[in-house]
Amino acid sequence: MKSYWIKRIVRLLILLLGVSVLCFVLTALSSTDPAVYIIRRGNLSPTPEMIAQVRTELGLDQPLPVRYFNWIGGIFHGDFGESVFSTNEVAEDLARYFPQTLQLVVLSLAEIIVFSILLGVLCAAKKNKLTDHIMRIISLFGICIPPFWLGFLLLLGFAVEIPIFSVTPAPGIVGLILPSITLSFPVICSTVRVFRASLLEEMHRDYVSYARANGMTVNRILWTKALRNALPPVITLFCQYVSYLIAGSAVVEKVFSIKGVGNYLMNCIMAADANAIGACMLIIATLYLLAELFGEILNRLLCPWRKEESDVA
Amino acid sequence: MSKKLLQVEQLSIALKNPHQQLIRDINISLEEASAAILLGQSGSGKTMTCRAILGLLNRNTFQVDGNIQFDGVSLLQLKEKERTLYYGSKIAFVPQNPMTSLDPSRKIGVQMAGFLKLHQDLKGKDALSLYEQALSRAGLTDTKRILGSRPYQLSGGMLQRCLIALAIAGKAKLVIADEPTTALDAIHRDKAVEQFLHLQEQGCALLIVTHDFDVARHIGGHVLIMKEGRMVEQGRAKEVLQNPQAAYTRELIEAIHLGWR
Repeated sequence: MKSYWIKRIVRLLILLLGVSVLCFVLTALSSTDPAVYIIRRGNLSPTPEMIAQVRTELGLDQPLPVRYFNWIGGIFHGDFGESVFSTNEVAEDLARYFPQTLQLVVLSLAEIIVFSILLGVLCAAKKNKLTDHIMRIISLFGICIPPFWLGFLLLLGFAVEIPIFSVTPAPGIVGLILPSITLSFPVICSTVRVFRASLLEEMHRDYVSYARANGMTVNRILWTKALRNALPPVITLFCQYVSYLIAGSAVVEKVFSIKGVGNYLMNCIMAADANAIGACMLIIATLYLLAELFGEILNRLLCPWRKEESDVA
Repeated sequence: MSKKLLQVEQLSIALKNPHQQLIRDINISLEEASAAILLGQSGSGKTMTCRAILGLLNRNTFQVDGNIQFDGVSLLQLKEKERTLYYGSKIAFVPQNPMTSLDPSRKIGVQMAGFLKLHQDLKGKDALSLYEQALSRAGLTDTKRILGSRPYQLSGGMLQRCLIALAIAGKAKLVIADEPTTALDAIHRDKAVEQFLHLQEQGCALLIVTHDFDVARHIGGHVLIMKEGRMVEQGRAKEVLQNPQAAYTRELIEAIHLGWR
């Protein structure tokens, strides 16, 4: 058991290393030259000499491996380097933009948890009835539509036609309601499907008939027994969506003009800002891996009997 | 003549789609504190009959006809909410596979106390101690550990006795057991049979499904032989098992003696 967790953490570190290399190399391969970006921002037309000079200042003339090790070495000292895009320290930028995104993501996660569970149980309880069919159509719709389009539709509907919310970002939680719905809706649609299937599978198990033979009503079995045993697949899926939410917030933040990390990341990509992109990706990857680990721990606590199965595999 | 407790009349079960007759014209009559044994090979419809009496058949899938009368009430007409008044309180069930019959994620004590609280006005602690007493009456000594264990931590034989203990603690009038000895070895099987006989002594009627002739002989009472969803022969256990009339019963009994001996 102990060796399992050690293996798990070693795997996590190797994955993070891989992510950092990939991010850095891919950014370096991009056709945008940060030097050109900086010169253009100064309203100058870039000449080869100017470009060479800026490249030396940024340290871009050094070979790629050297640049990578400088960067990754800095991270171990808490120094993410300087952002080409904003000319600030990356760490400073992140400290400014992350709270916004985090609020959005946490709100979306809360919506996902509440609605997935409620609607999943509803669909399973009303299997093949009208409610279930309606929910099936809505979730297919939700899985198919692109989030930015849903965002525009929500803005059009609830900020322009029926002005409950404002088009420009409102301060506080009110301003996050529409964006969080945009972010969570597609996820809810797929988790509800998975949860419904998982619940119905549980409802066919022997312990359900035994509970029924002991006089328990179907609804009570659904809530007190099947729910808990049906959760693990949904939790796994849900934890995988955590990173999707952070990355997906880029599109949503653009649509709703929220100054969050997603918006920042998009701008940095335009500037081929290796330091900032690397830092953002590393944080998102870390959060993803931590969420996955958290999901696994939660599953083991909920259904300890599954432990035996996964240890063998 | 004591009072009729359970009366199954003309019970027929069919699969709805595609239509297929599974069980036809089963009649069972059980008096208080008496025993009936359903015998037959696998697939003869014994379990299906039990599930019909327990109201476990999905009416969307199965067409159930006939009448099942328990204590003056028609079980087939029960509504979802009225089930609690009978199942688990007056009718107890001991299922076939103890390993999968309990919620795998919860401790046994919590689950069983939960079932008892459905029917008896008990506090959590009292339900737990009531169940603990039943466990020791079912022949288990290590009761504290069992109450705190989850089903995957116990052996099949122990779980089977845990299930029987719930029937004891529930003070049922009728215990329906679906092949309660299949998961057990010979020693545990004999102990389980004794526990059923003990329940009967206390005024509980038994309906036991088995394909084990030794169990049938031991428990005695009324024997019903089933084949392909029909009743082939019935009568007192001794008479039927020693002097079978139907060809199929003779075949069944001979099959055991031919076996590997």
